[in-house]
Amino acid sequence: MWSPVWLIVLPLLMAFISVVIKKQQYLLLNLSILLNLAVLYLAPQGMVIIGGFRPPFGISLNFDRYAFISLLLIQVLMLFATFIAGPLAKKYGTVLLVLLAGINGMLLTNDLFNLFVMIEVVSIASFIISTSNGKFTHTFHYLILASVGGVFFLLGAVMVYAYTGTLVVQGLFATLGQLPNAISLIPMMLIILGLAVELKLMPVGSWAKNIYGNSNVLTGPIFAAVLAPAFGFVFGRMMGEVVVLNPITGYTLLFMAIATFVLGELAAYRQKDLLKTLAFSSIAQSGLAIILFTLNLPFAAILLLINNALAKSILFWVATGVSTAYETSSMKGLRGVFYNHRILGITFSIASLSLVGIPLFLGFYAKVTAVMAIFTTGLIWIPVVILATAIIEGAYMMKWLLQLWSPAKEGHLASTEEVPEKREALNMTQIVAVCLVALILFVFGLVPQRVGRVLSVASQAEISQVETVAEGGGQ
Amino acid sequence: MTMIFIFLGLSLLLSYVLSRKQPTLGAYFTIIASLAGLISVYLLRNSVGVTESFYYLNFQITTIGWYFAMILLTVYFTSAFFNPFWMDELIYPAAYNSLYLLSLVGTIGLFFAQDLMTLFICWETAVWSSMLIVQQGKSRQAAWVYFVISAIGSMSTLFAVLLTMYLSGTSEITGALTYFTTAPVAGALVFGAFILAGLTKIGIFPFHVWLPLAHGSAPHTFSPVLSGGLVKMGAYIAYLSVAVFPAYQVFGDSLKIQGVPLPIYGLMILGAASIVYGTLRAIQQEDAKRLLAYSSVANGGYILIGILMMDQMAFAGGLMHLLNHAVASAAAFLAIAAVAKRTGTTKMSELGGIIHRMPITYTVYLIAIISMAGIPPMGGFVSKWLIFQGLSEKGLILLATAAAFGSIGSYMYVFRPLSAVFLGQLAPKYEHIKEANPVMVTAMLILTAMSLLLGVLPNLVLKTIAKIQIELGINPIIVNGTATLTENGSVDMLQVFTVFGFGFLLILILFMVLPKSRRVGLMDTYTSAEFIHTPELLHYGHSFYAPFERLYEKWPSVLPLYKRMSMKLSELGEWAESFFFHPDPNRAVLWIVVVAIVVIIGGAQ
Repeated sequence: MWSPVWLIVLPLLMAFISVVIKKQQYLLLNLSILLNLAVLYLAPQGMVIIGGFRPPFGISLNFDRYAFISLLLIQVLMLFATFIAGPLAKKYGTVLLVLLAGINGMLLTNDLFNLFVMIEVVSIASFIISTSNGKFTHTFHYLILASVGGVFFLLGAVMVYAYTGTLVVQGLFATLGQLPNAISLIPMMLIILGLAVELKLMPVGSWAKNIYGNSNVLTGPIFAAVLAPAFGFVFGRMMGEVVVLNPITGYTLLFMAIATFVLGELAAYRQKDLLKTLAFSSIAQSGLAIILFTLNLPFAAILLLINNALAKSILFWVATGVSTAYETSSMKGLRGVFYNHRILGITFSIASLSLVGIPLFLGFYAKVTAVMAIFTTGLIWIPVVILATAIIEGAYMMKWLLQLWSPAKEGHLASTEEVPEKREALNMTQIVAVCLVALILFVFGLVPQRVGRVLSVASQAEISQVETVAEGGGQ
Repeated sequence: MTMIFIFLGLSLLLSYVLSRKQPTLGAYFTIIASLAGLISVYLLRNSVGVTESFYYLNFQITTIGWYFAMILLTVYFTSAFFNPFWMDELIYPAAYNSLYLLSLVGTIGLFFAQDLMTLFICWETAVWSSMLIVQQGKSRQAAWVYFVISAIGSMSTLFAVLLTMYLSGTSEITGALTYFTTAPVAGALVFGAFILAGLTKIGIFPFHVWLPLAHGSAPHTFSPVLSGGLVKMGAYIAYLSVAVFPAYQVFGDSLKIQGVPLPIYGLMILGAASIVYGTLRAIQQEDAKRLLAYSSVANGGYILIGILMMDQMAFAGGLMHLLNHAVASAAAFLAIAAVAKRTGTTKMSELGGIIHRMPITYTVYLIAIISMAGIPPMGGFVSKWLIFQGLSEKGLILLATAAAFGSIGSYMYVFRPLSAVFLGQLAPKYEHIKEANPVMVTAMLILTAMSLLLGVLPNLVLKTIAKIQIELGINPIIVNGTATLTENGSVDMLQVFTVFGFGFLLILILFMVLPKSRRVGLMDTYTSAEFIHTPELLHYGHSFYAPFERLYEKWPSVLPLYKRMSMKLSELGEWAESFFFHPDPNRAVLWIVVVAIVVIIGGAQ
């Protein structure tokens, strides 16, 4: 009765129903997310074989601890995102249901070709959602890149099948590892490049700047807090189960990830627009998660993804809320707005302090775990890069915090007269919802070890491979 | 001890709640809370060695930690007296009061931290909470620079902390740091990363840029805490880097200069550079708070050199100078704050003759600067004298010269506000101002009394310092009654005070007996009916040391260097954005293909 298949089937079914009864699509969306949460808790963990055909002939779902954590995070954030987006989510109810089905499928599937299909489903749904801000050229940009990426991924999957005769994700690396280096290299690179587009990896993630940078209260959180971690988790699964790295692919990926991280933060550092800053910050953080997955440090990567998802969702809600209300997202235009919106300001501060990795917040635990884990690989220069870049990240987040809180002109004491006239950014129920997420983030920060214990089980599920790039590359 | 943290934690919440109702009430509560903290930490003086854990934070009472905590609490306590009167100038008074106590919790936690993680967490808490206070002052830029420079220190500390924990397998400070006696190469790296945090926080050249900005533009009530208190966090890190971390052993094989290993000597040179640079810049300042901030840079140099010496005298001097400077600098900043409260400015050329209206504030400032300049019979003299003794005994002539230069230069810069703000003619618009109110006066008098007491009976503190030295295994400073003994001689400050006291009395009698001077009004000028368009240029406080300043007015400043670095980073970001995030999707497709080709060609070989 309780099977993880429901996680995919239910939203899809609801999506079809919602086409028929358009008026109730918002209700159906929330209903299916809530039912999904119930399924998540009640379904037994393990491999689910669909239709009685054993792999490689049939399709199977891998519902392990890793999938559980990622699915839980996605459902919760999706629930909040649709709730807070309100009217916009109502308009895109069907699409959001398809998106949810796609993401759940992506995280559950144990089949490389199915994964491709699900990625395409998610991509198409996210194209449609990204049009909600009316900037179609940006969606077009995204569409082209994601399509090219999808083709690369498919090609990679086909090659894997041609060489190994199987598409089962679990343990695929063992089969691939037996192939000669030059043969396994190409499909691996194609798969990684295919995912890299969605992961916003430099130089192929250029779509993210404008999609994130022009987001509204629906798209911002959906892209930054739902899609980003979802693809992060998928990438983690691929790194753990499929991808065989040799020194060339390994270091290329590592180099791309580090470049994304460092240059992304630098690009964020120069922004004078709040949403663009958050856009580049998301790009950079995605780079950091990929560094960790590439070095085979899933625990730290999962922590980072969760911290980012929670923090970024809050940041985007508040940022899109105030920038819509005040019709600007520039630093000058938003100066001192938090004087009018104290509660939003506090949640924004909590989220940004956690994102930067300041102690007493979850981000700090994530940062420490990441650096400590990288030490074990022997690559001491990477923590140096990460911590040096953290200074830049802290610098721009603090600049925003200072400007958003203080209405004063430089060189003068603040006075209430300079505060911009108050407008409603988010309504009371939305604020309560944002506060709930902030509370989750804050509480996680207070009990990091407990969170860590739960997650370490998940990360062990992900580890099938133990080799890392640092320890000699090829298997 | 855990109870103190819980108490302070609760009181910061309470002060927030109170301040939301009535800001002044919350501000008065900060006085009570910091006093309670001061008393309860004082009572811990005999509990050295006790360890306590609070959740995942571990604390231990040590003599040095207790000493630092007492200094910080004194500064926080006395500065808190000023808080109630600044509530109407702040846009977020409730946040100010609670962050004031939060930064206090952070600093006290730092000094009592038993393990490296606790140390770092407390450090960061103090940094970001104080940054959010600084932003309520005149400048966001200043708060930002403060944060960024601190972040450089924080991140390097974090690197050192994590590397140490990883290599030594423990996080307990003493155990973890002594591990490096056997691993000198990693030790040198960790030492460098660690001391960097100390340098940024003390404000050692070239990391001093945040001090004049942050101290100069922070709310007037918080500048004393920044200068007298938070800067001392850096001194504690410096202490850990040489005294707990086996720096002299790690660098045992390096080249030695007069017995001091080269890397440590290099740091001392930075300390000396801070003394010279801070002094010269302080002389130039037009704003009293910025002037005092630069003097903190110079005094930070003395403290750093003293601590790095790790010997009988200079080390004792360095530790004592911490206290002396904290007390004197807090008093001076508070005096300026009191003047600013009444006049609304800290620009020296807009003031003058304030002594006629605020004589107590004047006395407080006078005694504070005597101590800062190291003139007997104040506390500053004893500590500087000890540092000189240590330096000259080791034959470190260069450093001793810089220290002497700083002492003489400090006469110049401390005299400038004294003369320009307090002495001279009173402007007509200040005719009706009054002395600071009794609450503020109380705080200032407490600090003044401490300065005086430290000068007359320095052995009260030197005894504690001797205890610290014994714990570290270095020769303790020898005290005998009221006399302080060193190898080059001894000094009895009580005798010095008596001599000075007699001189003072003599002058006082002469002052009373001789005819009074006639006051000349500011407008009683000699311009022969000509209209003065720019009266501020005629103020004697304007370009006070012009001929001297001209000697080095063209010297490069460090701040533009940081600005250029920031600009370069922005440009690099701009390049990345235009190159990799171009709005044309064709480019991105091209990049996908390029990466694929590069990898395939590379992999095929």
